[in-house]
Formats: sequence, structure tokens, C-alpha cells
Amino acid sequence: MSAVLDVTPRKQLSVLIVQLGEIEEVFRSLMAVKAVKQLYPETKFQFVVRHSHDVPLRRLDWIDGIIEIPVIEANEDPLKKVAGWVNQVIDQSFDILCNWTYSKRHQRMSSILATLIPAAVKFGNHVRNDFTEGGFDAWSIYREAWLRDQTIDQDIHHTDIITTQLLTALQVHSGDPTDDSSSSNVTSRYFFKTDNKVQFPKTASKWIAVHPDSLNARYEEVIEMILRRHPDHGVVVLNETALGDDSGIPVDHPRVLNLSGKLDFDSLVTALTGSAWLIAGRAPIVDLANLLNVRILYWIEAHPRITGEALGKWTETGPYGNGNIAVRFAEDFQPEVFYAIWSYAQSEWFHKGTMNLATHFENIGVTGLAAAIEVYKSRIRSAQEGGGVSFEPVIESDTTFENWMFRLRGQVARSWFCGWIPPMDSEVEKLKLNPALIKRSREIRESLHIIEQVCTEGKEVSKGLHQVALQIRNPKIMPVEDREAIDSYGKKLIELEGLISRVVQVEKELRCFLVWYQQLMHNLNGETLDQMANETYQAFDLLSDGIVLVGAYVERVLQKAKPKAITLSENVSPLEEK
Amino acid sequence: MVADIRLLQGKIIEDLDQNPKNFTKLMEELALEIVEDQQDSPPAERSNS
Repeated sequence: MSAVLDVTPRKQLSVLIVQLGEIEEVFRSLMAVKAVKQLYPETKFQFVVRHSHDVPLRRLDWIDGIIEIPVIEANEDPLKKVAGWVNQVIDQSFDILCNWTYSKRHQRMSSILATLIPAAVKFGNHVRNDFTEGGFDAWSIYREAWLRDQTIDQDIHHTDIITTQLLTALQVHSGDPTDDSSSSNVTSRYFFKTDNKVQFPKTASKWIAVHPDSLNARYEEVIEMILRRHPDHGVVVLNETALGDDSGIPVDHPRVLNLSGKLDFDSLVTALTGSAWLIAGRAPIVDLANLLNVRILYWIEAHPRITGEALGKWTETGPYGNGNIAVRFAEDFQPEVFYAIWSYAQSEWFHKGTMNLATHFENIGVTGLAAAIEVYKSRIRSAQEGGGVSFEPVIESDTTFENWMFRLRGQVARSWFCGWIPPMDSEVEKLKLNPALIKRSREIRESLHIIEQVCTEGKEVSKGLHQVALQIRNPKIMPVEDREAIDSYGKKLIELEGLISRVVQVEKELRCFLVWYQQLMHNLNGETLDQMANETYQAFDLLSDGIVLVGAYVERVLQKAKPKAITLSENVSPLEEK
Repeated sequence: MVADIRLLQGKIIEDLDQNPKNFTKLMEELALEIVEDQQDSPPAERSNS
């Protein structure tokens, strides 16, 4: 077998996706693979998944192979069984391996597997020679740096990250994508080939799916309002655990279809595809509904009860696609408000955006919109805007500095990994300037300048270290002065990291840059000191570029905020004449 | 500036026939991980939603 460079001329590559995470991660991976498959239809995709997560994959004819983690019976020798299984897997040849597992619980298992299975090119986490874990590539390091950290929010959805990673991989190793592939949609009600297992009663013309397990206890009141105010609507209850008479749901209502506790994958898909909306909180059913193009009313819970990806930020794992609505209450869940937001969104076809949410609340006699709530609508951005899903506020408010940094971090990543960002002026134009934002922009300028200077020095130091390291023929025997020089460069690098650390202690919004630098240092791949010094130089260079980009945005904002002199002309009427 | 190509192209494995270092130990650890995962998972793990 030979390395990837020998196979690059042929377009038909085989890709193995290692996805040992929770089922929602499998759904997200399918979204990414389907999008990539449209651009690279010749590519063959196989998945490695944990036992029982194979079911959705078996309902897709465009997946070329499914490998399941073996089940070890009580009387079996685990090592023997696993060794036999691994031998079978490594017998196959893959061009590209992507370890997309994100769930912390299954990260180690997936990293080991990504290390053991041979592939010409590898992406994602793996186990290094010292048994620690590291990332093979930029997007994997990015996930560990900015997604894993709960204090750093950024606007690139998890699905977009893995999609872009794979697209970049194919572009580098296989060539540009096919042009005539934009005709069909990624998501569809026919995404999975399943048997129709659910018969909807004729009592309603439109069905709304509800997933109580992921919702606040007062979801029953939302159901009650839908049934009372919309006589043509029915509610289908989709829950893993069975809900009976004591659940508060009117299970005997002619327009309620209670499927709780009776769902296998096929019936769940059928029930969802027969529904116009899904009302749910964070749960795998949301990711499944995304694939099926079902609109979602999503409750953003501060402390989700559903485990798995619970630690992921909602902005990175929330409902994907166009037209989904996400709602967050500052305090208690308010069923009436939640219902009213849904009724506004579901009547969009009627008001066509001519009526705002506040007017709708007035019209239907619901109060409470003024209470602190956030409402977002999802939209797939055009390629000119940076692509991917974004969650745009439905209730307009001033842009805070952190909200702006949330968007800027994504722009920095696009600049780093795609070499492109949307036009800066149009981005700044969208901001709702306010005194707090302008004040914070002014304050942060100096810190940006300090970090930029530290990066310049860091590049100098790593260049010096690289030069010394190049002269060393045998790392075990070296002149005393070389060892002292290396020591000194090393100490200087630690000092510089300390300096950045001190700056970001004050400027919390810039902490992302320190975390990024630290992740890059953790993932140095070089085997010799000169290679590592070179990578350190690149790390400072990348960091510096990110800082300069944020600085450029800040300057644009301050420029826009400057008072502009106006020229009085004869057309201006004096005040007293009004 | 876009990141160095080495960060974007993934890790290129030069010799696919050569097992990774620590192959046996990794295999042992994998077996352990699989057993632990099986013990942690409920008998009928949710596979649909």
C-alpha cells in the first residue's frame, strides 16, 4: 500500500467516519456526509458506530458500509474478540479516516480506533506515542479549543465544522467538487427509507410533534393551548418513556396521538415526517428532525436534563436548517409565551414578515414578551456571508460586545481555515451600535495591540530557537552554549504565554486566543526540536493574524461610531420654521 | 492568512502496512474501553431518539 499522494489523481476515494458518540452525533454526521456526498458523488462512505447506532445507517442506500463495535459476551475473552474484530477492520483500505466522535465519554475509544485503523490520511483525535491524545488537523484542534470550552462561544455549528473539515480534505486530496450538484436538498422527508408504521387519525389536518422528555414540566399547557386555539391541529406525543393518564396530557383527546413508549426508529421517522413541527428541548430527536426537514420550536434550557451532548453549547448543537425557532427564558418557562412564539412562526406564510412578534402577542392577547426572553430563528447563510447555519435574533436588541465576539470568533476561524471572510463593511453595517459596545471596543484596542506585540516577539524567539536547533547534529551531545540558548528560548516562550495569560485575565473576551495557542502547543507534531520551533512560529503567526483581524473590525466599528460633520446647505430648514 | 497546509490536509500516513507504535497496548486498552462502555450502557440503549 502507498500513501495518499499516489491515489490523489483518482476522484473516487473511500472515507471512513469514526462516530462512536451519542446517536445525535450520528445524525449530525449524516447531515455532513450527505452534504459532502452531493459535491463528491463518487466518494464511498463507511461508518464505524457503537452497537445499536447502526439502525439509521441501515436505512440509507448511499452509505457503503457499516462497521459496528463488537458486543462482548460474558463468556468471551474481550481481548481475543476485539483483536479479531480489529484485524477484520484493518484488512480494509481507506483513503481518508475522519474521527468525528465528540462525546467525552467515548473520545478515548474513538481515538484508539482512529490510531489503529490504517488510512492514507487521518483527521480528528488520535492517541500519540506517549498515550496522550491529540488532534491530527486544524478543525479538530479548534473543536477541542473553542467548542469544548464552555466559556468560549463562537458561531460555527458543529455540523458545519465537520462538513468543512471533510470538504477541505477532499478538495486537497481529490480536487475541486463537481459543479452540477446543488440541485437537490440535503435534508428531506424521504431522507431515510423506512416502512410507514404510523397511521395518523383523520381528526386533524396538521400534526405537531411534542417530545416531553426534553421539555419543561409545563409543556402540557402548551399542548392544551394548541388543541384549544387550533381546531384543525393535532398533537403527536413522541417520548421514549410511556406517558399515561397521569401525565397531564389529554391522552383520550381525539386530536392527540400518544406514541410515547412505543417508538422504534421507523415509527419515529414516520411520525416526524407526518408532523409540521417538532416542539422539543435538547435531545437527539431534534437532530433527527433536522435531517427530515421538520421545523422545530426549540427550548434552550440552561441545564439540559438529557445527557450525551448536554455539555455542548446550544449555538453549536442547536437545530440545524432554515426556519427553526429557538427560545430562551431568563427565568421561568412561560407556556403562554412559548405557545405564542410558535403561533407567530407557524403563521408566517400568512403575515409574510409584515407583522412583528410584539404585534402578534397583542393580537392574540398574550402578555409577557417584555419579560426577558431571547428568540432566534435559524437560517442557512449564503456562501457570500460565510455559509453554515446562523441563529438570528427575532427580537431586535443592541449588540453587546460578547455577542459581537461570538460572531467574530467564527470569522477568525473562517479566515484561518478557509482563507476567506465576508466583506467587513457589510458585517459592521449589521451591528446595532450603542455606547456600551463602542466603549468596550475602545477599551480592548490596547490589549489587542499588546497581544500582537507578544506574537511578534514569539515569532522572533521561535525563529531563534529554530536556528539553534538546526545546528544540533546529535540532541544528546551538544555544546553547553547551545543548551543554554535553547533553555533561554524555552523560558522566553513560557514568559510570553504568561503575558498573554495576564492580558486575557482582564479581557475575558480574548481568552479564546490563549486557549487556541495552548491547544496548538499541545498538538505540536514535529519530531525534532527544529520542527517544533517552526510550528511554534506558525502558531504565533496564526494568533497574530486573528488578533489583527479582530483589531481591524474594532477600528471599523469605532470609525462608524465617529460623529460625522454635516455641511449645512440651503435645503436645511431652520428649527424655528418647523 | 490561511493556516499552514499541514494543519488542513490532515495527517498523511507514509507507511500504511506498518502498525502504529504501542499496537498491542492500544488493542488491550480498546478491549477494556469496549467492555466498560458495554457495562455503562443500559441493556437496550436508545437507538432512535
